[in-house]
Amino acid sequence: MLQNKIIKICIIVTFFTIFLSSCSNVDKKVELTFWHSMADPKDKVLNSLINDFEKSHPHIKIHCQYFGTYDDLLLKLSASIPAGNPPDMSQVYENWTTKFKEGGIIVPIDDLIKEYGGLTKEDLNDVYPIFIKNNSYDNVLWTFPFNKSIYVFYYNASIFRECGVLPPKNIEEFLDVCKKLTKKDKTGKIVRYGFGFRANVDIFAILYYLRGGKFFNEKETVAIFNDKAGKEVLQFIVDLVNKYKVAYYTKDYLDNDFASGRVASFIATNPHRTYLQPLLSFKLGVAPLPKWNIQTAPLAGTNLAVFSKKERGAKIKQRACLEFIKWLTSTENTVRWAIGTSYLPIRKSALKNEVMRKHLQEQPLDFIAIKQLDNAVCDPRVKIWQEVRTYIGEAVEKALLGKLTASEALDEAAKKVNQLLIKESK
Amino acid sequence: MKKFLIYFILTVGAILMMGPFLWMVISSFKSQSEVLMMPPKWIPSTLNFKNYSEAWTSAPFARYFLNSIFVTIANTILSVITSALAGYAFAIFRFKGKDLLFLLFLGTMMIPMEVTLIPNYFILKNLGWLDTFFALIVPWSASVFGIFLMRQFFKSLPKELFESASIDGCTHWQILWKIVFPISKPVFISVGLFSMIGSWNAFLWPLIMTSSEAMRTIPVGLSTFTSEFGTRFHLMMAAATFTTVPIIIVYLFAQKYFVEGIATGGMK
Repeated sequence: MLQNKIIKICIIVTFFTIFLSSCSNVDKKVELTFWHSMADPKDKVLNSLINDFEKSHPHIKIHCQYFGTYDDLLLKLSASIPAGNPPDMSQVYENWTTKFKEGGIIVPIDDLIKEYGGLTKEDLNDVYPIFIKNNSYDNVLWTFPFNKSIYVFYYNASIFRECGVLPPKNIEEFLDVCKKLTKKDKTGKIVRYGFGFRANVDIFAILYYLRGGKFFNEKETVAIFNDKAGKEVLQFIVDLVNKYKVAYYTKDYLDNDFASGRVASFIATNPHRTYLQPLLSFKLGVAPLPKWNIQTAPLAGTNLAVFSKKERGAKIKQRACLEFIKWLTSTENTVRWAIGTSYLPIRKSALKNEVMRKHLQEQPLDFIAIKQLDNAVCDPRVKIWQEVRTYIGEAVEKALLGKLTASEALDEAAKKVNQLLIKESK
Repeated sequence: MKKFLIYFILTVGAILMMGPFLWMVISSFKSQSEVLMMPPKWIPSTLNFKNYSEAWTSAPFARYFLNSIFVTIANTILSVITSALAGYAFAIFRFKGKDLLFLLFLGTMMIPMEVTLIPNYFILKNLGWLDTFFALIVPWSASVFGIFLMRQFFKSLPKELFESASIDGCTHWQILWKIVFPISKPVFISVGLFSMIGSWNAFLWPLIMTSSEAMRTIPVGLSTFTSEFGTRFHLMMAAATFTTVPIIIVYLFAQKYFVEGIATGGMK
């Protein structure tokens, strides 16, 4: 009896497996796989773009595959690359590119342009120079900018007006504004902080860039973020919390603290607004980051890489990838992407586009982010950037908790980074 | 008094266990701004049923659901069978190197899955199984923990049982299924349960080993609500709720066996 049942079940299982795994198609389109981390609802915008691309390019089919967070995506890439099974295209961060370009894992976009044409000089000149610079190594364009964002200062416009303050233009004003916004109740308990931040590397990096700091020396072989400027920045962060008591920090996202009025301002990337806006019952303000020594704003977001493959027909696929990238980053489509997701448009000509102009009139806050592109700064592209971020994040935490002084914490992080750099160079 | 204490501890325990579950259901009706409000708001101000429709349409959950069910059933059945066979061999057979082999088996339990993930990816790639159900099912159709449980249980059965059965002319196959199985149902259920829970909840493995939408399972699908800007808990909880309901229905029907199985497994 039971044996019979088991055998029956086994047969059903096998049947289903064969049935379900044989659902592959047989037509002769160029099929591309595209791995990304665009979560809902941004994947909807991406998919609708891809649908339109497939309509206008009937010989190409793109299999868009979503892989959770960027960390998950990197994990997936790290498994598939050594196995010789990478996708045709993927979103990549710059520091991933640094790794991938060495082993011939990805193909430079420049090589593809040379071979197949498509993107003209005018096209490339139309792309914001900071993006080209950030995607190039020794003047060779390796990857293509895609979903780029930039850090801006978000503030609770209602509270700002109530307290009679304007968004801070420089760091002195910033401290002053934070003091004015911080509110205590009758018992002396703080019920509202002027500023909130996440206790990780980002707050340090942002302020350090504004202070004019550089994480590494020119050749990116030695970490120098524990210089005078770095220590001053971390001390400032600690002072905001412990000395002036005007800032609040958490490990979590700040959206809910901001929405509930617990913090009056914070710093995040511009597309963050799409997630933030639905939470808010007050008027949201967006401003450029306050100037410290320089006026700047760090970029975030990823680029598109085309992977090199040994299989037959790899060239045809790469050509199709270039065609897709060209189409996706055309003025018209970068505008569609930017409006749909709040990411930055890739091209300067986007601002002349009718649709974009109309959108910016309705959503002037988006324009504040785009304007920051003129003096944007990029993260270092060292292979170990992820580790650097972890170490500095730990230093920020230790300094905030008073386990180490700001200076000690940064020295410790720099020491760890330098050891890693030495190990890497061997 | 003693009874009161017992009830008190049980009540506290029940609340602790139910808490996260309740939070899931309640949050699934909240608006995005209410979900993470501090202090927590236990009763949503309005019931947002549209969370459910929005969550359902944000990824092809119907497909993920079928996949999860199929993979879980296949894994559970296969791992119970292989565990019973191997456990029987380790408990009853006498052969050279048996103990060493068993130790090696146990040793593999000490290696975290993350370490073997990439080598496993290579193996599956060479077998041509990536992005197929084979990748989701075959590697998990044997479980060392299951073998261990079965072996321990079979060893505790009286030797006379096996002896008399073989004197009566039973083959090992017949002993296992006709004599051992009926009296060992609890251990079969607990092995099945562990395998079921494991494969229903698996995230990393399906994420890495499959790529296409058609092969995704529910945990991978749930990750669509997490992005670099934060997690949209109201939608995630709505999705978590509707993906949990079938499990609860199964539980209501098979409650007796679950309890029995867990009492035997002695964990979780």
